[in-house]
Amino acid sequence: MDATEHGTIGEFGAHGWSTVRPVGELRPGDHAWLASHHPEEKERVVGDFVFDGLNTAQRVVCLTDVEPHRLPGMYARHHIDVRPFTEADHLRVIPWRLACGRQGRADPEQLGRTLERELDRAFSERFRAARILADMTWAADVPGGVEFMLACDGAMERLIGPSTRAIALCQVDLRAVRSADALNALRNHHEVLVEVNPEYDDGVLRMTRTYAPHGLRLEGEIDGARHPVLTDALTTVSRPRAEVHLELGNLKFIDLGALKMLGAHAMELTRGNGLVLDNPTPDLEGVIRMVGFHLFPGITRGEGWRSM
Amino acid sequence: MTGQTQDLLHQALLYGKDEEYLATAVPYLREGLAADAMIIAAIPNRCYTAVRDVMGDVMDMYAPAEDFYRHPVRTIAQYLDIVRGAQAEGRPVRALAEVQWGGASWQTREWGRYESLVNTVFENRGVSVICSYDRRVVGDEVVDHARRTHPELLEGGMFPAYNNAFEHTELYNARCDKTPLPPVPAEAVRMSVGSLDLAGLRAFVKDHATRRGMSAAVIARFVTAVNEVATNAVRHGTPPVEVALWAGADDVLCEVADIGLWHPDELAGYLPPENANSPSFGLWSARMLVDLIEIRAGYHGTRVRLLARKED
Repeated sequence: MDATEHGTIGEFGAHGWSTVRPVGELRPGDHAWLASHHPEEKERVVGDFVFDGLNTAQRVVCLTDVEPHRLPGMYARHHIDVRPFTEADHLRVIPWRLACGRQGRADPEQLGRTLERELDRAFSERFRAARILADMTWAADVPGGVEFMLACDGAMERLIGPSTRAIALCQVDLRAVRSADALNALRNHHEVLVEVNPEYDDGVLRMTRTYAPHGLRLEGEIDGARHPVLTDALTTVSRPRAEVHLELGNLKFIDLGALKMLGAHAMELTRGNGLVLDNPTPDLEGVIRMVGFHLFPGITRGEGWRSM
Repeated sequence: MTGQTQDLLHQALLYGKDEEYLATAVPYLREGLAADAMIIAAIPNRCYTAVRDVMGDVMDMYAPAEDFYRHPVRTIAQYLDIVRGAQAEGRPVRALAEVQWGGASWQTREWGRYESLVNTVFENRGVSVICSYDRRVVGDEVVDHARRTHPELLEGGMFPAYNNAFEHTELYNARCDKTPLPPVPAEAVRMSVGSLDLAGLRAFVKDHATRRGMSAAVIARFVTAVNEVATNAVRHGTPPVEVALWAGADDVLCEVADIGLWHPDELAGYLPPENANSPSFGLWSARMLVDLIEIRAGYHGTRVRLLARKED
């Protein structure tokens, strides 16, 4: 992908355009949002976020009520025991009670002060940069929790937005959230929506796991040189009795060999509903129509098909 | 099936007057009706009206010839779909056909090849077809093709005449592929290809085809077909692989050449594959996507030439 494509324009929220960025491409000053659909998505995003920080000598501050060794993705994805990092204060895990409690009450302004203190401390201890992870899942289910989180978010935004050395990631588990309005309100507070790092990106083809729906997003071009990586990626996302969606909106070219591979792959997914293709470009749709859709049993037309 | 033979009946009817056409077509269709055959026709409107005036509306399917005969490989695929549908219902197919022989010499050659392929594609599918040739319209060259591609010839009279000019599909097809290609013109743009990473080639083809007036919808298919042929050349050919591109008045041509000797299963690339997993899927699809693909293989190397009209 060329540089201009790194941030794809996402949805238009109440606070303007938001940008979708892989977790590995977050920049200082980003105050990013993840509503994870699947535990694996959370492991990948949070795990990579924390790991990247530890790996590049950044102070990592986690606002979460889970034990440090249960931080998502640290062991499962990166095979890291976080204890040495917490002992060295490289990684600081702060329960919400301590981060924002003041005189027995939860106070968003207190959170702002806590984080400000943490950042000052990090930079005075010669860390080059700092990242903050805020797991907000608990609040989604508590009466008044969303309002509280919005206030916390405001405090974080004031701190992170102007910063040249700090990144923040706010995260909820979608499955814990009951109200879509509350979720939208929280999401609209963030200009950057974060997603998993791509499975593969060689500048011509980029493949990214998607969790809603389950599948892959293919962007760029696929030709004979990229058949092996496509097979690998398809194999990784396939599981019995589950549909696999391929998002093709930004796929500018796919060769006949790769179409054939998709067909073969769809046939192998016999126990599921097979392979669903979403949003093909007019060019791709024209090619498939001319060749004949009936040659691809097992492939289903998903969203965004114009004709046929 | 209702007990009839599944053998293909493929007859050419040479006629000079509409009465001669009807004298053969009408009894032929009546026989079909008696056998509960699916009656289909892809004939000029003039013939269709004449038949309808005599027999009434007896056809299960009618397509005006000028719409049905635009692209030989696509026509075969379409025909096969219809025949498969009839087979699923357990009915034989009885067809009247009159190919629209195009103007360019390659078009005549490809429609001849099409007529010959019918003998292979529709073998053992319970199909019977009469291909009519209007002597007032077609010349001797086309009649010669008709003789070589139809096992039986109706030339006036009730019974087929003995036809000793008939050639089997493999032979006919191989002869088609011996016709020399016109040389690549000097003004052609050229590019050489060294790996399967063909992003550069695609940009090259897209750019030059656009500048030579090809419409966007056609380009997408053309690029896909060229990519397929070039992928084959890199994978199975012998380097260097050279690509040349040039344009005529109405079409854009692209030739992919390497110095290897390719022995494709010549017929396979014309016959609709069962599904995308068939070995011939790539070449056949490429043929579907452009107007013409010609392959010339010899000890001087292998050349594959693609032609697509600039507009649909």
